[in-house]
Amino acid sequence: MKISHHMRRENSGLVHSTLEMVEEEQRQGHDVRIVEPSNGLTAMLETFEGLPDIHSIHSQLSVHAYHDKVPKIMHMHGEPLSSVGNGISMRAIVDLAPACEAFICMRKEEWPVWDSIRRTYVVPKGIDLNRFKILDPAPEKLSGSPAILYYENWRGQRNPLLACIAMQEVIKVFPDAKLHLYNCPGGKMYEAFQRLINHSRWYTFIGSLKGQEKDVVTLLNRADIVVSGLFPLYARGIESFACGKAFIGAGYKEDNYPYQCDFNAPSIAETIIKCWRDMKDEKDLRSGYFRKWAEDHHNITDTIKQCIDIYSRYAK
Amino acid sequence: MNSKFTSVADLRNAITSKIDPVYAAKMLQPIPDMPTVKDRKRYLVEKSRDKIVLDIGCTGPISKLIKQFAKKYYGIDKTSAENIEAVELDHRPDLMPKYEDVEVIICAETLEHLSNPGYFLLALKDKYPGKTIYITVPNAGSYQVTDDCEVINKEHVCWYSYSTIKSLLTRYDFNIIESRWYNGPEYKAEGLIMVCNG
Repeated sequence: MKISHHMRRENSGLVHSTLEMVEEEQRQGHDVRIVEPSNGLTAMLETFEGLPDIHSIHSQLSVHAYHDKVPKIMHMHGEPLSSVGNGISMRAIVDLAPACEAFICMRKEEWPVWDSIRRTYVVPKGIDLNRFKILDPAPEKLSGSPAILYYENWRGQRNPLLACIAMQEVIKVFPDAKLHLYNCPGGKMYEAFQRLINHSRWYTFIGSLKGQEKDVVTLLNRADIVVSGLFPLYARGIESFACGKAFIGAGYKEDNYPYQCDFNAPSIAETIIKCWRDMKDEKDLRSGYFRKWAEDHHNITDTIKQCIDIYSRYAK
Repeated sequence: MNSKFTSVADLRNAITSKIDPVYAAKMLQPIPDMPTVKDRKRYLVEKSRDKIVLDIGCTGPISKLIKQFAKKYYGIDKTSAENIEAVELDHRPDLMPKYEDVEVIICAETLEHLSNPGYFLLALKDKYPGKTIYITVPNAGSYQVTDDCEVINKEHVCWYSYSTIKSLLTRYDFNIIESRWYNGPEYKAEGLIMVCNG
């Protein structure tokens, strides 16, 4: 199949997820094109010529593709409430909906919202298990026991505040625990957290307050537990599973996952404590458990097979 | 086909690497995870407690405390005072006295006053080889402007960051044992403590 992806060139979780999908499509023998919507004529990446069989929209659609009569599927990377809240996304989605044959969303909880706008299929988010893996030899660990990592993009209400509050309870049980805050965007967000850390004396358990780390796989391998501030969705944090690390995020409610929590600090703290009690004496065993969880629930090979199946229903 | 990139990996690298790798290799210096000392004064006094101390640049308030808690105390400054030897460290560091029994050297907030810090370090290394030295300097990351004024001691001639003080010490073959921020959050802390020996 010839698949044309429409994706803005930016350093975001959405883009990294899309690139992993494109790589897997290529591995499965499909031809791909990646187009920057604002410049639909020059592809960023292209392995075929002419019209595609399907357009796969990840943020916006190039105007050159609007009326080309090629079927279009939009991937809902974001979460409905924040799509309304940011004042832009939902309006753009509704504007594009008539041009699309269907939507694909990642979480079943979102399905009723997206399906009320356009026919929607649920395909769980996949992780590139070749890229995200347990490193051998293991890199030097982040400080703390456990070393807890927050690394998702910070944006407005998506920030590690609740994780910091939760740590106040965690250190009562595990005094050596440290929370490492990565991917901080700097500016006012950095200032706000720096002041919080100093004022509230959180420096006893905040191991780092740092910007973006280019090598995410190594960073994940340096942690024991990865926490997320996202709710009611989850995003890149689940990549930690593939690196053999626990993931704790209020937005992650997959059936039978043992470390689910609610979106409040006591619940996050309780889950971190439970998780570390289970893990600390059998880290290797647990590492294998989380890796297997990724293989069973978030294998991008399965994700792409399901997407291709949906594309096939509409493709020419 | 005329795409800008030949593989997803290339595109990913281009998206994440905003900076030319040649530029990055020269201009981006990694900062290690360093602990923070909440109170520089207390830290230095603790390190001097019951030791034979040489205190270089010793007219400040911390020196009084160091003197109080040290087993034995030697002081050097550019101006003489009671029990303090006057040495023109900037232009004649070779005149620095050599006290044979010194165990620990404190050089707090001195380096940034010197026009010729390298000559000073050479002399220190020559007179006190292998001795543990606690060097503290204001951190360039703490730079502030208030009401159109730079907040800086008018007698300072430079700012040191982690990378510049490390480069200076390394250039003169000092072995850096430990580095710390002091008084404030990492990167923006008031200063840096470099524990080293010559």
